[in-house]
Amino acid sequence: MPVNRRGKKSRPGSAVDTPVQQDPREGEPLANFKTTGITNLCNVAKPFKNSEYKSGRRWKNLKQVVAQEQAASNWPVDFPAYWAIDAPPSLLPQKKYCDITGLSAKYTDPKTNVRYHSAEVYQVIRTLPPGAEQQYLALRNASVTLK
Amino acid sequence: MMAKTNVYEIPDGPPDPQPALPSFDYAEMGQGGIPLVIDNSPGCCRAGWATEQDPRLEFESVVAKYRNRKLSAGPISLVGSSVYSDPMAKSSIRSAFDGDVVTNFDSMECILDYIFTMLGCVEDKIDQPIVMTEAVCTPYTSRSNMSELLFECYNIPSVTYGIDSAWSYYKNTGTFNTDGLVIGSGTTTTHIIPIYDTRAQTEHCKRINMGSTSMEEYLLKLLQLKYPTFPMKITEWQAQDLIQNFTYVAEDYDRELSSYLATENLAQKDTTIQFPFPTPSLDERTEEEIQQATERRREQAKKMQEMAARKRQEKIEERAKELEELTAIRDSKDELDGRSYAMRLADAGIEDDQDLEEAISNAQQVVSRAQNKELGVEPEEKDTPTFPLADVPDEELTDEQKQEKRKQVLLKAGYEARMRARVEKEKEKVRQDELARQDEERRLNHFDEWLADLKGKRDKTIARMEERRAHRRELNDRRSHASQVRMRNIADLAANEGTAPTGKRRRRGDQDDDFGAEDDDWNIYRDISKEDEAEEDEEDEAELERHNKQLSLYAPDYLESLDRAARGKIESATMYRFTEGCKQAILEKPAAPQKLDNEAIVARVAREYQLHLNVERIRVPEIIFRPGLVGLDQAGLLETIEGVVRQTGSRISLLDNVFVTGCGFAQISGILERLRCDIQGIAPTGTPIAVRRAADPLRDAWRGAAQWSMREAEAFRASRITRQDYLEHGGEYLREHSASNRYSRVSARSSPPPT
Repeated sequence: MPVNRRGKKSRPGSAVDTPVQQDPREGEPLANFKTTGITNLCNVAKPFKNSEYKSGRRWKNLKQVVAQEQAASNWPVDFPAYWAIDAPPSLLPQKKYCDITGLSAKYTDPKTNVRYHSAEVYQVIRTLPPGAEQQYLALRNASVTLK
Repeated sequence: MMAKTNVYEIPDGPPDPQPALPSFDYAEMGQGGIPLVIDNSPGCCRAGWATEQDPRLEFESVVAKYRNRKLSAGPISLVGSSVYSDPMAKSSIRSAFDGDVVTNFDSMECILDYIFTMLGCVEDKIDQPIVMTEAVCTPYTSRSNMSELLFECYNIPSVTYGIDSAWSYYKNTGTFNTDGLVIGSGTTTTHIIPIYDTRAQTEHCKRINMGSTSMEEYLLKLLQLKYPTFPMKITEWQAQDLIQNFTYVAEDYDRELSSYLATENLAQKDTTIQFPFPTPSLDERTEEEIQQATERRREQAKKMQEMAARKRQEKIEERAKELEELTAIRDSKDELDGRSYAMRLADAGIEDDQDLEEAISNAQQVVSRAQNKELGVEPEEKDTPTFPLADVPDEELTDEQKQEKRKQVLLKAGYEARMRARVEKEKEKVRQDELARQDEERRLNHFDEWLADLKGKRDKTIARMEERRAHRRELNDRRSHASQVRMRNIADLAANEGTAPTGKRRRRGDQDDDFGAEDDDWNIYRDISKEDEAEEDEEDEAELERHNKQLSLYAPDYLESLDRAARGKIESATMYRFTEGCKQAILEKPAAPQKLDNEAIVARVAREYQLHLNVERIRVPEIIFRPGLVGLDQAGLLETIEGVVRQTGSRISLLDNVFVTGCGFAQISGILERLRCDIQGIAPTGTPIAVRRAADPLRDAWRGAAQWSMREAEAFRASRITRQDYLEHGGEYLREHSASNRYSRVSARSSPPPT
């Protein structure tokens, strides 16, 4: 089991899962790659790096970062923070479109909630394999998920 | 409707990546503190010297870190398109970004390593000021980590952060003194940023969480649902390729949509996407070769026949010889004495005279039959067998004779039945011949009537088959009327059977329901059976074939016209046009016989590997105007623009300089016209409106940053976050400038926030 700098077991699949840290300054000098080009970056010496520097952190995803940051500080009301600039929901009436063809939809199938353009498309809905209508609904994020 | 269609042969994927060659002029280029400009965006990273026109490096912003013992003992880290060079790397491909924000700084470190290495840095620190793009309103955490990495790991002297689309605006406007409205559309987000008072006003900007990848995902899902049985996997790269080449923004979405699948538009707007397909095995011989082959086959068959005949002949001769010998033995009976005759018999394996006679007659029969066959003579009708005992009363017979009589009675019955059947058959044949003759006569004398009849018969056969098919379909549905009738019949039969054998009642006869008294009663079993129909289907199929053959012989246009009509009906359907564009429909059972030549076979196979883009071409980019299409609960582009302008105190001057840039929706053709048209609808009458696109929506952010840092020396100097700033104010510290985000020092909350 690989052990990282802080002595904790590294979690498999985490982004920090680089088993052995090598000194970035070691490796072949850049001049050796003049004609071959660089593929594996680990083979090249990177003298410009600080060999002492290691982050060794586990990185949070954007959602976690934003939530944490929003909660941790007193943000000025009018400060343009990442979470504050999301476009608000639409206030306009939404036109409906056929889930199958994308054409304008006059009707909604009461059984599946799929919107459809014409009787012909309705025939298609009727012959859909079970579950397929959920995939169509998922297109506009309207599928029913059972938990 | 065989219109010329636009066929696009889509490649499998990007061309194979070539290992990139590093530069070796770092020391010269960087002399005098020339800034290094890095446009760090989630799709593509660009880096180079501020003094140059174009970025030196331009690579896909992906990293793969893994081990592969076959290739190298140590760890491997690949950056850019080289991650696709090793199949092992595939599962460990990572991006530094989550959305438009850098979150994974291990990957970021690899990317920076790659940039500095490729630019040829061999010094022990990076001694150039860095100019780098960051997301609009980047979270402090992300900037803090980035600064930490740059200052601690690479020892850079200073960094300037700015917004890519603002710099792109600078590149195309030459100044921040002109007011404008920037629409920066990236891989996952689209920002609307007003620019006035000489800077990007991020406090009034808005973000719609949609970018180029949203379109790719949407197109992929649409195609998967449209062609659920498509034999190929459509890759993200291919989806991107299709979006770049074929999608466009409709100026008036609803109007264009309403007639998109109409005949007059379809041929022009439908696009056929041809995926690579396997070549079918073909008969590639020429006419002459085929003829030669059949000739050879015929000759071979002839040879075989001759050989078989020779063999038969030999056999006959053998038997004839045998016969001769046997007759010789018989003839010798008179000449030889008893003893030597008996010996001769024994030699031939024969017991006595009777045996000999039998053998001779057997041999005679075999020889004569064989000879007859060879000469083509039909075996003559055997004499009518006699059954002398069959009609003699039992009383006059001995026991042995009775037994013989029984046998003869059976034989007689069988013989008579055979004869009757033969007569029947002959009669039937005569009748059929007569019918055929009449038919032929009718055809010659009353052709029109005859043809109409034939068509009618054909239609009837088809109707019959169709009816049976419908019935079968209905039986599959348990709740249909047909199924219920069947179940009721079964239940009735079962009920009758259940009561019938209960002894006494049956004897009394009060339950006798006369079942079977009429022949039709038995049809009930046919009705409840599901299998019987196969036979009838076959009969009708054969009949249809017969009709078709005659029709194609005497009225060849008729079947063609039927096929044309059938095809026309299919082709005019909305769903068909949606999935197949204006391709000719393939009939499941064409009436006219079809012969596919090689070209047609290839075309058939090719068609299975074809997709059609039609409605999708406008449906996919439309999502930025109607995020509801993909279920995103945000206002569309126009509504957001309206909101942003209102927030700025309705500075309608912004609308005279709407600027579109970035790798997302900005690249889609028609977006400028659409925006102009839509903005006209919301702006007060007479407002001057101008919408334009960056000269190069992809690279102008980098070029703008480079130019800005060289030309606006004053502003650039003031914007540099130095090592001292970093140490003093922390990683999230930002020096504001015209193209930057806002910075405000925030205090930590003393109490934990309410959860």
